[in-house]
Amino acid sequence: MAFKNILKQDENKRCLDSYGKVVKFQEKLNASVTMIEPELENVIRGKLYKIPYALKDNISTDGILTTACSKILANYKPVFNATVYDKLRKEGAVLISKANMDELAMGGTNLSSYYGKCYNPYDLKRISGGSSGGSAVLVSSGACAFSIGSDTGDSVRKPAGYNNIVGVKPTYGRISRYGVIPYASSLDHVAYFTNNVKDSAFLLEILAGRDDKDPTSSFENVDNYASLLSDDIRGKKILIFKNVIDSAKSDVALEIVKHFNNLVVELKNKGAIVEEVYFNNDLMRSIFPTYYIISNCEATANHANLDGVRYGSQIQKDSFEDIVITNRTIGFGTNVKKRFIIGSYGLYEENQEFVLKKAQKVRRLIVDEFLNKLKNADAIIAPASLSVAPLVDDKGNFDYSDEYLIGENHMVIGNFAGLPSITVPMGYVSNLPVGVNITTNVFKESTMFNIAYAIENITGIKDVIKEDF
Amino acid sequence: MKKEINVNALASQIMFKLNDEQLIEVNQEIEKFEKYLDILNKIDTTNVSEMIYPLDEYTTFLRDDENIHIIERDRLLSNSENVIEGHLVLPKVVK
Amino acid sequence: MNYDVVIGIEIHLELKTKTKMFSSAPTTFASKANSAVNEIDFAFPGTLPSVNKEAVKKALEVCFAFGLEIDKLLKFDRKNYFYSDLPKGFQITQQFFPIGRNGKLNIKIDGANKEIRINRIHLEEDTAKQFHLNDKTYIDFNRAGNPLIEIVSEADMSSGLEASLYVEKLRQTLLFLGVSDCRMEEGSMRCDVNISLKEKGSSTFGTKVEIKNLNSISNIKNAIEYEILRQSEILNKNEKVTQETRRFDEATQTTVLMRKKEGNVDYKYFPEPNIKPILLSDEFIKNVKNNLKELPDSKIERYSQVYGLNDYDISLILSNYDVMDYFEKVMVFSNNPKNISNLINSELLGLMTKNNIKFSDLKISPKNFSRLSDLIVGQEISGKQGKEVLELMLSGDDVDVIVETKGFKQISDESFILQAVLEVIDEQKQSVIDYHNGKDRALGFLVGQLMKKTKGQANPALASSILKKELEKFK
Repeated sequence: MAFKNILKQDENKRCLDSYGKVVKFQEKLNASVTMIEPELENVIRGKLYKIPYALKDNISTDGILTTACSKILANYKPVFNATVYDKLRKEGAVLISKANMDELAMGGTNLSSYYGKCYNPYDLKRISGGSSGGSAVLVSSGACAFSIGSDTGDSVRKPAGYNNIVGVKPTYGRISRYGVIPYASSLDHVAYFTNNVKDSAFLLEILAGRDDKDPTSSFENVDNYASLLSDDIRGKKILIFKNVIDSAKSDVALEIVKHFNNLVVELKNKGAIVEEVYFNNDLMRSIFPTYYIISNCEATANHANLDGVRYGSQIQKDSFEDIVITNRTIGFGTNVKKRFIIGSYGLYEENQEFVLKKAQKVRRLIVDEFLNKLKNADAIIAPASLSVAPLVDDKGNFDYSDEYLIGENHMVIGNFAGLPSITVPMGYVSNLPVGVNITTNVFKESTMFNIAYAIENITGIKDVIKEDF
Repeated sequence: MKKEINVNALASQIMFKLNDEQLIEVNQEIEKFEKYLDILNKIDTTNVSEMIYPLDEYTTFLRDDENIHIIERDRLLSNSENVIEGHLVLPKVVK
Repeated sequence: MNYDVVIGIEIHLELKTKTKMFSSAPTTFASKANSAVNEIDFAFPGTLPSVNKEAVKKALEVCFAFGLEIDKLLKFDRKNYFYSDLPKGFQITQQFFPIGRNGKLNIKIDGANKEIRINRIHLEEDTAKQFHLNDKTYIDFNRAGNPLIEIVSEADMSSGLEASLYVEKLRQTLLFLGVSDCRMEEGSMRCDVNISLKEKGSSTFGTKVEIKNLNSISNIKNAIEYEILRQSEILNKNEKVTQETRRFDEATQTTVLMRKKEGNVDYKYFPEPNIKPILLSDEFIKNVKNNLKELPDSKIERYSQVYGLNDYDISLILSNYDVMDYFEKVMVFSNNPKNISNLINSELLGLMTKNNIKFSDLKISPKNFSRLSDLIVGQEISGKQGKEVLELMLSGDDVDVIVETKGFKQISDESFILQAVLEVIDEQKQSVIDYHNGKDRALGFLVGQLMKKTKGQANPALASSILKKELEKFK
């Protein structure tokens, strides 16, 4: 049974407790932007009846602030619902929190939120990860039974690893994006966090499916992932992402690889056929540059609607131009501005050939290289990150080494190719959690869950709640 | 082929201003960006077509011209601060 | 000096659909401000576009009507710029892969055909409507997102007349296809003209001036003719025409500067990531092609060959979509195209103008109209009575009821007429004598008396023939 732990509790108490924790943890974690006292009458008796959850604050909720953690939307209340929110309401899930995130989802740290940083319950000096940081932390701290985020690069799967929980990004088009404030449309996925694999398999049955309001959503049948769940991986062909492993140089990275290698042994013991696979390393080094350009080009256009005219920040000036410039100048943080400038530069007609189009061509080469190997296998696995959650005050581990460019960014391939991809807990390095990522072929979510389930049974790490911080 | 990038001109074209601190950060960002371009330029993309959509396929879906959906005016404009008689109002716009 | 004139025309046409190009808000015209808008048209964050099938269908119809090559893979792009009437900060259009390319249209000029090539037709969305009052601009998003096609001609025209004939022919065809209202003054058909002059025979093109938003066919002609004069004068003085956008001022019949063009604006076009390419199935395309409405050229041929109408009558009927439409609806019931055409052109249209009635308000059913024609052709009522009946029919009354109440029905009963003839002869002996003495007027007088006696109901031809026959007997 999915959501076993929460369903054991009294149906009203569990929602009120959840709200109580969200409020109580706020001071230390800063995981919420809006906390919603649960209204427990007239809840629909659906498959998620009175299960408390959180939505990343870029998911539109009618009448409830939806800021995407940007000042320019600080007072914005949508007049329509995102499809995911509608689906969850119809199954009786109870929304407790609109969760903190990087401004407009543009970041991997949750440091750029207009509402402040979000902290990691495993070490309050460390970041939650991002951009779906608040959503991750609300699940890992046990405040919510699950949470919805969005994943454009690895914005759910990376923080899942830092928070010892399960993070799922299914196939592109598997979950409707309607009403989700975008980052980059061709990379954005609705994704989510749970405490264990079974819950995540069950949840996808509810979230997935065709939505005519998102014409990029898929007509593909939605499987019964939860009832199909099995940890029997005998004969499953699992590839090891060797470029990632080889890029590990730092002590922490090597420690993480050690955990990973132990896991691989166990997978073999369970009957999986494990093979190493090494991709063209120049292409793998190009993952982040490619992502950086495509996402920022799309984002700068996507957010041209934030102009101070119709909603959100609307400081008055004497002309249309002044209104737009004033509201955007005050409304966007530095990080967002940086990315918009790069993105806009890449879109200029004279630059497109060597910026956006170049990146889009490399995207194809990376995807072809990756799928060429993956198509003959069931899955590819790698550590979700070669680091533990960085310290908030860290300048970041950014550089041009393989360890950063590949080790920290390989999961973006899942967004390039729209592949189903999941991060599950793998172990601890200096008492901090680290995750392992499993990526499968398009619409092979069932395979993805099964391998994740097997790993969960190997590590024994599930339903870990970090309440003492 | 390095080109001089005029950061302020870029910013004003997308309608915002940068303060001095931001200007420094953006310039640092542009240095990174140029390194990224160098990395991409190592890749030969001759005869490769752009990948624009993740699953790189087409759809056949077209929306039927029916099922009218409107947001009632008061709700539509409920986030708008400058409304006169159901119109959104701005200082006179001259094109 | 003499110049070659080079003219190209871009037309924005609002398509007649129920819902918008990318949203299911209605395309209602003139309903109250911001009452036909949903979250997509208002560009609330997180909304996504969904392509309207009917708009695609109508765009295809236009493509077929002018013989354009169709791109079966429908693709859209973003055109990025900030403006108060553009809520998303970009317009979704088809920059790189228009739905149709390379078509043509023939105009008739000085009795000869001239081919005007159409470069492309693409789908896009309209902007919000603004109006300016005192120091404020009022924005109504009802129009935002309405489906448009842009029809771009090659620069194949060389005079105001040619340009106006092109737009007229285009408009007629579009109206007959039923894809748009084509109301130029209300903006559902908007016309921009590019015009440049070059030295006669030269292969170097002159500087292009754009005249925007011409709102009638006669304005197109007049604006171009003025602009040719203006540019000629500049060139005659050895000065340079500047690249600029102008508008036509109706009051002075001149073109006026709107703004100079400073280089090309970079719209940063790129493929719309939220709309995957849409493959139009062969079946869908075939279906549109096979159900295409009859085009004007084909109607001309049919009216002439099948209905036997002359060129003049045909041109009158085809000059207006509503007239053509009414004519065809009446012809469903009638076998007398010539009479129907006459009745419409010489009676109905005049009556409608006099009484200020539009076809949309016309209460005469096509069936009733056809019946009226039958009564006249069958000589059951006279042509003169027909006119009177037609006027009465405007109220919506049934033709037979009117004829009956008015007692207009002609009497063709020979014995009844004979009786009346004998009475008239008996009463008007002097006129009978005058008749036999060769006074032509006498016959007219006797006929008049006869009609008076029968309250005008006697079939005139029959009455006159019986009268003549009887008069012979009194010789």
